[in-house]
Amino acid sequence: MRSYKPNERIQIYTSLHKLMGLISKENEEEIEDEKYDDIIMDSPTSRNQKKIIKRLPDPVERLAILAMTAKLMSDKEKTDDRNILFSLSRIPYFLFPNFNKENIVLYSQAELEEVSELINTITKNLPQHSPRIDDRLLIILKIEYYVNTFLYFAMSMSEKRFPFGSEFYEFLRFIIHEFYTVLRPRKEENPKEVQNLISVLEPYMNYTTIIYFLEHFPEQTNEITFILLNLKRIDFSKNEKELLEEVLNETILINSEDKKNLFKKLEL
Amino acid sequence: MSFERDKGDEFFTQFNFRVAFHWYLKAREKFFSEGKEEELRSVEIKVARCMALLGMKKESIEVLRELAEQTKERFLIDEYYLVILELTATLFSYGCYLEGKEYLDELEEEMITESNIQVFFRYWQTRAQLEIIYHNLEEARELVKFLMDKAKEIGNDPYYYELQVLQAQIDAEEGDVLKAYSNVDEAFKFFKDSPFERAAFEKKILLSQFVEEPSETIRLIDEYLERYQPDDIHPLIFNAQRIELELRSEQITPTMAAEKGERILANAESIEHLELGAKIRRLLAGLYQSLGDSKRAYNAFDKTRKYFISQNLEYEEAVTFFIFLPAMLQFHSAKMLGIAGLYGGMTGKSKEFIETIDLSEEMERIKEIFEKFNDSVRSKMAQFFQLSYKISMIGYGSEYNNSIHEIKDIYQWMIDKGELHYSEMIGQFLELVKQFR
Repeated sequence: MRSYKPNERIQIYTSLHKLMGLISKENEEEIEDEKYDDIIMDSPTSRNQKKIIKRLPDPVERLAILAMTAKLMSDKEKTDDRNILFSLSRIPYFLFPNFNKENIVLYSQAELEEVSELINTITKNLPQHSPRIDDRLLIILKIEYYVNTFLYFAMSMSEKRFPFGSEFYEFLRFIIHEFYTVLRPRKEENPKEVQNLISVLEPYMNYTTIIYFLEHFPEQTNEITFILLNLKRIDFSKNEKELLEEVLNETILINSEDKKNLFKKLEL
Repeated sequence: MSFERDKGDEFFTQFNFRVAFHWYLKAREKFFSEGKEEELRSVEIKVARCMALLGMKKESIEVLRELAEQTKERFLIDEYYLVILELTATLFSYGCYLEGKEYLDELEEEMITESNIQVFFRYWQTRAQLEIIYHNLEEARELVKFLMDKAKEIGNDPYYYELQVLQAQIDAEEGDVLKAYSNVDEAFKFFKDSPFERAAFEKKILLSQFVEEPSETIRLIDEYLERYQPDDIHPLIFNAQRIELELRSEQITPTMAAEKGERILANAESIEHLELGAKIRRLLAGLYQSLGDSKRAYNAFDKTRKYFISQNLEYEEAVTFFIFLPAMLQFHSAKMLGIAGLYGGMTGKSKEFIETIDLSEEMERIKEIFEKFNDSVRSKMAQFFQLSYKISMIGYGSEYNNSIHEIKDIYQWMIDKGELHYSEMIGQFLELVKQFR
């Protein structure tokens, strides 16, 4: 096993210091007093999840505290780097217990940027870094981050802070690609979790969006097919269904098996 | 001339397949609405190629099948041949060799002449590739040599070096890895900054694991990922290879390797990459065995074998059986000693399997396969397994002494060959036998 030198280690987690600003004075002291060390070393169970959520109700602060605790522990060489990375990668479970759209918490843009930076730091320093494959838990963290960004974006849009237009589709397109790439291989293993995550997109998967996608981003047709097939429910008017049927019948971008399933799903 | 298609070509040569795909689809739409059939077909082949690269196996195959039907109906022979070759390549790239071969066999060799040099080279290259896959190395070598001479004759350097990569693959299969590596390296230098660069680089990585330290191969893989930022399915193959390398250099534990393997397997399964799936399973079978999870080990072994049998890949199937053989022998002797229950191992399906096969017969079978394919190291090892099995059955006597003698010969042979892993394994066995006497 490769051992890390403390100096290298500090370099790896430097950006975590930014998170310090999010932690209250009181909690900062508790971190120093090693009050949260046990959480990092414990394996995540629903019981200790509940415990930590009770102790730290604010999710962003929770993330920051756990990350800082992990870093301090690594500086004191109380645990090796792999443990730290592993602990950090478990944070989403504390951050988003039993993820579903009912209990999702929306973050501000600034908070999301912090989370995003953290994810990047962890991902880049994982021994296995590569563009396609990384740690399973990190993937979940990533997806949850995307979901959050997406919801944040969508909410601000409904508050008319963003103009409804191409910008939205560019963003949706990125989200759909990420969901597809990350979730498709996991479908068999965790069908429920995958469906829960995808259903976040439900309100945005309307007729206009689908047609816009097929026309402007045809290369993502199979991705949008995957999303549609995994939505819990789809609502289209009779007229929309007929038009969709026509378009879907024509395309060469969906294989016949998926096409059949999609027609069934859309009740065509 | 088409702006969209040129854009597609531009991104394709930069290995940016997703963007290329976008432009090819735009071009397709344009040709479709303008009614330009010939251009439409040629861009659809490119669309299908992008689909295959991006993990859309089924879609790619459907598009090509449709094109094949169209061109056949209209007697567009040259185009039909190109489509079939593309279809074969797609099927091969996902490990569907028998299906690919069926299509290839539809083409008539007499029709493939040098008048259409593209079809000519691709056809024979595909044939050579098939021979390599089925381990008919002599035939493959002949074909490649024939093509290389031809490429030289017509002064086509890219073809020549592409074939050199293929030749290197044959050398590697025959065990001459150093030669293979230097050939690939040469080809890589020639292709540097050309569209074939990436393919040569990939071969270099695959071969480097046999000639370099694991850390060097891992470095190459990282360089590759960094350099091309590939968005196609190829990184999967290299990440699978990386697991083996990291395991070999003790950077990760078997448990971690199994976890990583499962993740890559999930990816391979989701794009229906049969061959990659089978090869990861083969690795997992060994890993689970060493972790004492024989149920999972057997399942992985069984699925791997089924794939190789379904593709008629006799040699690969024998290798799979060979890898799992020590586990089966272990179980067998545990049973003989009446401690099978203690040994935790085989239950359910795996127990059923091992009770229905005749181990000595199976060992003879794989030994013969290895002999047929000139894999002398594995055939000697199979012979060793046979002898050790025999010893466990006969107890003492002159036949026992003869067997020990034979095993000692194999031991020496392995040392001479430099097969340290195997010689160590046999050495341990001999030591064990000595202790028991």
